[in-house]
Amino acid sequence: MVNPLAAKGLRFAYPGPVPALEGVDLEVNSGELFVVIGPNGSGKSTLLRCLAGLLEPTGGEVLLCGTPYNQLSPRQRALAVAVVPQFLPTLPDVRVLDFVLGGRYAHLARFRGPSQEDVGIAHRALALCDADDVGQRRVDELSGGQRQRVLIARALSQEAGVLLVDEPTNSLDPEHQVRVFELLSRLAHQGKSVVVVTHDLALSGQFADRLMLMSKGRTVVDGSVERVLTPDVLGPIYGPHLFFGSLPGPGGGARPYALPWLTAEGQRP
Amino acid sequence: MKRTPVGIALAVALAVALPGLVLLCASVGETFEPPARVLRALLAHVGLAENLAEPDQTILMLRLWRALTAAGVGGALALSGALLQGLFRNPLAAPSLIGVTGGASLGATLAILYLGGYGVGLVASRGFALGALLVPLCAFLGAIFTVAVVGVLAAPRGRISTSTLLLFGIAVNMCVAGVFAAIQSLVLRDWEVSRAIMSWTFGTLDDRTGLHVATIWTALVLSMTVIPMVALELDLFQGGEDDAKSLGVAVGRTKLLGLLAATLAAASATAVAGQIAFLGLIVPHMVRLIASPRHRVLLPLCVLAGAVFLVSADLCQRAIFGEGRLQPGVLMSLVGGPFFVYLLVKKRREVGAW
Repeated sequence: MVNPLAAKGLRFAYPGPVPALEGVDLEVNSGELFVVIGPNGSGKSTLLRCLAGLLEPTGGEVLLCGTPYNQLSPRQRALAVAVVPQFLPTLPDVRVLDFVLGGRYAHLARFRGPSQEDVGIAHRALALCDADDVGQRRVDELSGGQRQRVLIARALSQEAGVLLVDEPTNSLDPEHQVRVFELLSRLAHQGKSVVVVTHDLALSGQFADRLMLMSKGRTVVDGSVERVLTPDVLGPIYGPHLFFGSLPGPGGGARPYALPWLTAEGQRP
Repeated sequence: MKRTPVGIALAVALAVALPGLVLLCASVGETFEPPARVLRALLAHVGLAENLAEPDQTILMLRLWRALTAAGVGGALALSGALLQGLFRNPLAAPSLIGVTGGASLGATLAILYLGGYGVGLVASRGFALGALLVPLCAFLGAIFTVAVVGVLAAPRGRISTSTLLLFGIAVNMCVAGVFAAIQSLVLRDWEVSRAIMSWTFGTLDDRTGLHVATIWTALVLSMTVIPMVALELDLFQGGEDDAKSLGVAVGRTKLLGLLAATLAAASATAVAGQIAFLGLIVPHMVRLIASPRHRVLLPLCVLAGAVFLVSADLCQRAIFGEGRLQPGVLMSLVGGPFFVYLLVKKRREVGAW
């Protein structure tokens, strides 16, 4: 089977001496929560922006079900790949429902507004994200947790097979962090391919089906959480201040985690 | 999606009011003529009735051209303002503030300089068709030039902040004003040309002809054809260009179409009526407040509201101050300046944050 989303030898360089991506390969499977971690400046966000089609890679290519991105129009790409941005530079001055309907754009016939069917899809997307109660509120009135859910709902209303999620738990309280990851995990297990970029090594350990560690624009490891969340793998990249442990996960079995901890040096689970 | 009843009601009200206001606007002048007589003059002009006794026929047609020019100019400026505000995601964008109007004036002034005037008799004497095309064309080129300069300087990476946009608008306007002043002082001794140019700075609706009406309405209709192609897209622009792109919007095409339409509309308005500031800022704000911020509603309504606004403003100033005392462009500046200050105060926190 062809992967819904794949990258081959992806390179990207911002103006300046240090390239952001130096040949990243990646294959995302259906029904999988794929989490990309890495220190600041490791290239995770650049990778996500390339996968989203917002940056044109300077080398290599992104393939959507085998078709290179540069053969697709923005509309065709949006039908298959939805992006949940970390935040929006400006919050639109509209009701939540209208905002979520923005996700239907790629489905609309040109010159035609959203239909009743589109409104139904937007409502279902909001319900799936436990946000149907805020449909009539205005976007700029929402709390951080609600806003994140509404952004995910808008991506869901796009009905794309691939969800790209950028740092979804930044500025959320612990309860909302857990609930957002639980939602993303649920969506993945319903059949979507979900790619999440995050700094959170505890939530990654708890929910990720596969982890990819990046450093200096390259992939260090790509594998199970048990393989990646170990002192031997993370220590050289993140430094000594991590505490490792494991707890019973959402599915029952033990799941590893790593926590930032100043006096953690030398600790072993 | 739910229709906005306010939007529909407003559209109907404005569409009904506009023809009445145009007729009424043509009624007011040195002598008041009943609107029915104005209508009769119009029908006579298109061959559906007998001409009125001269000079009434000519006078009433001149007044009608003036009113129709005002309607077209008002609609075009409001549409241009609404498009620019959507494109720049910035409620303070307006054709006069970011240099479109200034660039258009400069282009048009150079054309007037070449032709030796742009009034009733002068254009005809130098070749009617040439004048009809040259002045709007030069205005358009001037406007495109300034937009390109502001766009390239203020948005090296496609993002434009409020302060950058306004600062570059001011800078470009100052450059244009300098060249403008130079031209004015050079032609000071040529009374006809100097008067034609002078009236630009005020924004004039005096001595308009069928030529002016045809110019502005053609440009307005052309600009309006892009509305269905950019309205949904501009709604999605509000979350940023990257966000719009990830939702499937062809960002480059939308920007190009929107900028071309906004520039064409504002440049043509400037070509036929000179500098009329702030209308493109005020009208979209009012429509957004009363009806809807969604561009499918906003853009068409702005055309209607802008037309009604300028015709009403012209009607008021002539009813109150009498013929030829206060030009509509001056009136707009008198009202628009304080309104702009009000907007800045309202936006103070955001502007300060940049």
